[in-house]
Formats: sequence, C-alpha cells, structure tokens
Amino acid sequence: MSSSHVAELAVAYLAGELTGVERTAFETHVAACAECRDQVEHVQAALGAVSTWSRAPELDAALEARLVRALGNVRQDRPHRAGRWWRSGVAAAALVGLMAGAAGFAAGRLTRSTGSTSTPVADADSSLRSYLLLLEEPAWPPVRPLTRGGYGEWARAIAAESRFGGAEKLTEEPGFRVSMSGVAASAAGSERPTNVSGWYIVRARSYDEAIAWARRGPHLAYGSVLVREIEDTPRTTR
Amino acid sequence: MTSSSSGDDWKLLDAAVLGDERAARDLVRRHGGRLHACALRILGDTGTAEEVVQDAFTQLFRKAATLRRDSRLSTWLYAVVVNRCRDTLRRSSFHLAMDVQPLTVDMPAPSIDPHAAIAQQERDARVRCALEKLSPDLREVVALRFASGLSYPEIADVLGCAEGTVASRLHRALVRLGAQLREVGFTREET
Repeated sequence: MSSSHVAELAVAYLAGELTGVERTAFETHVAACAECRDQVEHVQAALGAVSTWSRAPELDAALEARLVRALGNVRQDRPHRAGRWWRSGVAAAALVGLMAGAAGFAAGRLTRSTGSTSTPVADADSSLRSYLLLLEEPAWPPVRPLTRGGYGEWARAIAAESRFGGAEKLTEEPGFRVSMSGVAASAAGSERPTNVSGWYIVRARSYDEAIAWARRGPHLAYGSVLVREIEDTPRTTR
Repeated sequence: MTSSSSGDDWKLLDAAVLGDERAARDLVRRHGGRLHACALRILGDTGTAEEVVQDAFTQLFRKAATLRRDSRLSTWLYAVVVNRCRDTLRRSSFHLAMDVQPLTVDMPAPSIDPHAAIAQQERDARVRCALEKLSPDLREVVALRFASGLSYPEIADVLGCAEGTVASRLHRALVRLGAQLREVGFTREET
C-alpha cells in the first residue's frame, strides 16, 4: 500500500468516513503492518497539531487598521494613473524611504513597495532607453566593507535628473550559474569574476551617457560595472 | 472560504476603489484573517506574514480594473499570498533572520491559565519547527487547508493544479508533518 494511499485512508479513518467493511479491513491491515501503523500515527499527530489552529482566524485590530490605511494610500495614488504618477510625492517619498533603509547600498525597493515589478520611475521621454548597470566584483566572497557609502547619493543623483530606473542589492551569497547544458553549479567556484552585488537601471540617450553614470558612482572602487542596453520589448503583466 | 459570495466581494472592491472606506474595511475583514493565518503558517513569522497580506491587498487595489472577474476574488488573493511566501522563502536572508527569532508564534490571551499558555506556546513552537522542515509546496497545502479552511477545489484553484494533486500533496504533507513532530518531541498525548 503506497504511503499516500495509507495517509488518505488514515485521514478518512480518523474522520470516521470509512464504511464498516472498509474500517475493519483498514484496522486489520494496520494491526499487521508496522510501517502503515507508523504512517497512521504520523497522520494522527499532524491532524492533532493542526486542530489547535483557529477555524475562523480573526484579524488583529492593528493589522486591520494598517491594511485599510495602506489601501487608502493606494487610492490617493490613483489620480496620477494618467501616466505621470511617478512625478508625485508618493514616488519621491518612497525613494527617500528606500534610501534611508539601506545599509550602504541603495535598495531599489521602489518597485516592490508599489506592488509592481516593472514600474519605471524615470521620465517618459521617448528618446531615452534603459541601461543595466551591473555591479560586478572581482571574486567571491564580496569585497569588504559590506556597509559601503555612496550608493544612496548615487541613486538620488540619478533620480534628481529623472534618469532613475531602479536599483537592487543582491543577497550576500554566490548563487548559481546554470550552464547551457542545464547543469547548475555554485557561482562561487566559477573561474570568471562573476560576483554580482547589485544593479542599477538608468535612463540615458546613449551608451556614452550610461557609461558616464557608471563612472560617477562609487562602485569602481570595488569592482567593475557592466553596462548593457536593455531591450525595449513589451512587458507581459502578471 | 467565507460566507460571502464572490459577487459581493467584487462589488466591495469596486466601491472601495472609488473611496468607500467602509467597503475597504469589509473586504479586509472578510479575508484578512484567513490570509494572514495562511501566510503565518507558511512563513512562521508574524511580521513577514503581515507584509505579505498587505502586499496582496495593495496589489488587488492597484489591479482592480484589470482583474478577470470570472473567478473568486479570494482565489486571487490567496494566490498572491502563496506566491509572495514562495519568494520570501527563497531569500536566504529571510532564513538567516528567522534563525535568531524566538520559537513562538502566537501570544496567549491574558485570560488563559499561564501554565496552559506556556504549554501551548511550546506546542506551537514545536509545530512551527516541524512545519519548517516541510518543503514549501507541502507547507502551502497544510496552511491553505487547516489555517485558512479552504476546500480541496478551492486549494486547487489557488495553486492552479488538479484536486487529486491537492489531495495527494496534503496526505504526503500530513505523514511528513507527523514524522517531523515526532522528531521535535511532539507526542500524541499533546494532541
């Protein structure tokens, strides 16, 4: 009898849903099979544990107030939906908030806090394209110190000229590289200097302008910055 | 899920988006508790669970005009919560932070006997510890079924899989959860 089948029968048995014949057959089998007996005990323990969870969990009053307040803030954003909401004080406040919270690196959480993963903050000037500034470092582990200054100012400088497209700090672990053959290996063991510690997106008219932004930042003291134009394709929504 | 009809939920959302705070509050009250319970059991952390739920409601408001209305609004909310929980669990920084958290989940109500309250906290801690040993997909079905009270068809809608998959996943989860409970010293007598 498969584990899943025993578990299914155990759930039905413990809930009193087996017929008399089924119940007898199940009890007879379990009495003779130690493995199945274990499974039934496990299911019984698990059901007992989850039975202490409230069937009608109430919302904490403070959380309810917080959620309603957050929704009120979303409503205030809506008049800016015509396409220029990023010029509103909400975007600016969010930018200030994410700067204040970062430990050295500028955390590009603007997009996360708004619930969108691809909302640009920069100007909608159609002559601008997006460029990825990939913050590279020589090797794993990352170059110390990890609490580094200058990233917030860099982001503010870019935003002040309406060129900020976002930023994120990556976690302090090497991650993986999946090769073309599909094999995933720790990136820490890679021969190429591929520790990537973060990225910025800047809006610029040319590679020259994007490269100039890379030079104005603090990262060249720790590693190189890979500058790549981002392909301008329609985004799918979730 | 709740006694409210799906049609009522969409009407509440429309009213709330237009500025009806009472409608917003009703919507939050209808689903917030169960959504939070689900996120809490998947993540084991109240603060992060609250952020996930807030994120789900915020997204709902932002996307209200474009959401398809042919399914339950609550299905959409649960799906967002589950996805956000998955993203959170993938972040190693979350796990590092959780390592230093005390092993308590819920605070006991003041009226409960303090000895019983402490015993309950210890039970909760062991259950949380056992849950954390389950893979995320098994944790999800346990949370959706027993923390939020969703039926098998509802869970199938949220996860985008067949009901049979929900059932087999849940049964597997119960066996493994029970085995983990034994590992952390949770005895049958405590159930």
